[in-house]
Amino acid sequence: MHSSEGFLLGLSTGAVCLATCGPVLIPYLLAESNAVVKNFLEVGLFLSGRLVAYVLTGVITGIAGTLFLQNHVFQGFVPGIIDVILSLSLLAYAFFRFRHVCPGETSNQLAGRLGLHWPEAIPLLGGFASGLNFCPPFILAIAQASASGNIAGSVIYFVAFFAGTSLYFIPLPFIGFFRRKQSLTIIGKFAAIIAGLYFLYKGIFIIFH
Amino acid sequence: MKTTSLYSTSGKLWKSIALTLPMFLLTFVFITGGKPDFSSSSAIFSFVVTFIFFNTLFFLMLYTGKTDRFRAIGFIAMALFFALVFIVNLVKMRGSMSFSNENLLSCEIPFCHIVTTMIIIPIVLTKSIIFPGSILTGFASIASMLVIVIGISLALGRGFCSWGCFYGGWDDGTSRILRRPVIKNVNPNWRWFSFAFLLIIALSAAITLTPTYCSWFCPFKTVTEYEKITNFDTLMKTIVFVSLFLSLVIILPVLTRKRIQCGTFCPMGALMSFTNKINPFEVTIDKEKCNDCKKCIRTCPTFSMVEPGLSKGRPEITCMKCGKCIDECSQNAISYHIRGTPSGKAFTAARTLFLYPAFTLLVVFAGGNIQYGIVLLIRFFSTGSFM
Amino acid sequence: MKKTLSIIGYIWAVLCLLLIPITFMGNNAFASMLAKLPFMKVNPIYSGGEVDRTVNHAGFKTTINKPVFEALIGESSKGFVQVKWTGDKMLPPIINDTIDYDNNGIRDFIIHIDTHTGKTELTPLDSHVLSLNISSKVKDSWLARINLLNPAK
Repeated sequence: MHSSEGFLLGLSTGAVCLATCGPVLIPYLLAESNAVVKNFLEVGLFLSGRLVAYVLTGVITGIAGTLFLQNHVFQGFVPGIIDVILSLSLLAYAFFRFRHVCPGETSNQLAGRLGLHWPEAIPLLGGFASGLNFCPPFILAIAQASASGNIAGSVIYFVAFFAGTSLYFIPLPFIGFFRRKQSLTIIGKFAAIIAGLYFLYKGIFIIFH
Repeated sequence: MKTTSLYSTSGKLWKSIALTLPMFLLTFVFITGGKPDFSSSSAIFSFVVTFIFFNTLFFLMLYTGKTDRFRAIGFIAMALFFALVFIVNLVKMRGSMSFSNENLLSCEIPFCHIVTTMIIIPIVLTKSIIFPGSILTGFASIASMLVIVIGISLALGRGFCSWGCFYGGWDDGTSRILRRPVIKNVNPNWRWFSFAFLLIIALSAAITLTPTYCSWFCPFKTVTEYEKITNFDTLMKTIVFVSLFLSLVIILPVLTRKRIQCGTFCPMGALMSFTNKINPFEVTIDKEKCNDCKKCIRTCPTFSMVEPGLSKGRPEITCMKCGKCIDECSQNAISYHIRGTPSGKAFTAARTLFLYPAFTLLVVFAGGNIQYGIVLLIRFFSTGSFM
Repeated sequence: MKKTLSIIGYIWAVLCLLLIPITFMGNNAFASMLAKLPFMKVNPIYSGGEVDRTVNHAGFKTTINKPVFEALIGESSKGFVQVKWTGDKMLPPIINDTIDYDNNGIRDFIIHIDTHTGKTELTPLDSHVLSLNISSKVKDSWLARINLLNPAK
């Protein structure tokens, strides 16, 4: 159930991830190659970078969870509070307009230099940087993962979160699909609202039980 | 500006009568189910009324060239009579509208088309159907309903939502109560909510192996069947069902003149939108005739007509082919169209070819219910009881 | 090319016109064909799972199903076992039965059902037996589901 929640959270926010990081990846895909197979490879490298970032976050979160959530008071109360606060931030994220900047953009300059010597590093590095996008869904995933109280559980949660968000990247090699980005973003935001409400309910349930 | 009707011809009356004749046969077959029941005067009366009702509607569609005006009458009648017949049958069989543990454990729950949205992922991963219904036997079996969903999707796409869905007539009806909307300028992006909801419903159903929409969110439980209230959980569910029905099916459609439940909430509608791409019938806009009055945008009950759509020459993927925009367009710029055929030509042929399957669908779902509903009403007014 | 597309379009439309009556008139036949596909079966969570064995008693028989630990992928850590009691002529007023659900020769729980009032008492004898999930009359039989922990998890 724990990993399922990670997957669900990833799916509900993945469209926003795609909308945020797509502009970094798409121009690259368009500029580099028109072949769908090649594009799949590039997207695969990008996603590998994100997976590394997520697993790393999962390990760190797991360690933090192990340290702080051994206490019974923390176990019963803190995850509920975190659920509520972060689900509210997820709702705010869905309702209000923020300027989303994909961290992958900032890595472009470095990647540009690196690309001269190791071209595969560009999508890999872009993916890693975009994986460390500290947006509310990502922070909510951190909170959820830390509640598992062990490193393995936390990593599994993040891998599931990664799987959920990554589904949106599958059509990317068929670039034409991306023309409907705006509707995808809206659907993603609505899904984030529904997921936010679910986590809010869950948080309140934990607190009062 | 003077406009000409697309459908005006000298022999319009005779042409309309001639085109209605095949519908005589279809309505007879589908209302009676191939086995006419003339055993009582009320049965004969209800058959005659239903038969005349549908054929008159179809004739008027052809004769006047108006689609939605007459479709809506049949569609709303279907929703009301379906609820009446369904509830009376449930009370007859079970003694109440609620289903019991026995019904659940015996897998006797009728399979509604909306469940389709929740069984797809589990079918792939568990090779089974996550619903307590019967595969082949009994009323509304799973296999039978899936055949219907597939057949309609291929033939009409999301046209199902305006011609065949036995729930859709509720908010179609309530959205017509006021002449002008109280809440104007509803953001058309709300139409995407149903897609997000579909995503969440499909996933949550897969994760929990439970048809979550049926368990927690279906507004139409209020007018069909629901779980017996035995504990706090079932009480909460019932409160949710009734609240959603009141808000999405009654209050908001009345205030906005939009089909809020169908256009913004129903996950099945979102799923059916994709099938709009795999059938030949579509609605198109002739950009040269369009004078940009935006009446179609204001009129569309499902937020499917938006400005980008006008410039593209077609409504959004969510179009339910109800024909309201076509009826309202004073420039005759909007019409039914068959994919592959030249745009701006043969409007009447395209419309007639669409109306036959669409209206047949309406007759199939509504005919039997309206006929039996009339029998029930006669019984009620003569004996004071539906039973 | 335009003419060909146009002809295809009209043929497609006519086929769809026929499809609606065919779908309904041939519904029974199509549904029977669809029902033969391997995925067309009700999930064990709802059907109660496959029958494992039947035990005969004086006046009634007990049908024990295989335990159900359904999950979307793999097995769940929790599940249930469904047990059904059917009378030879009618249901006995009191059912008192001891069940070995995994057929390992060791008794797993005792169940006591008053079929008039529906009052059901469960006495777990094994640590994997958790609680009573549901107990209800179903047609001529009485059916109960008992929550279990998955021994494999």
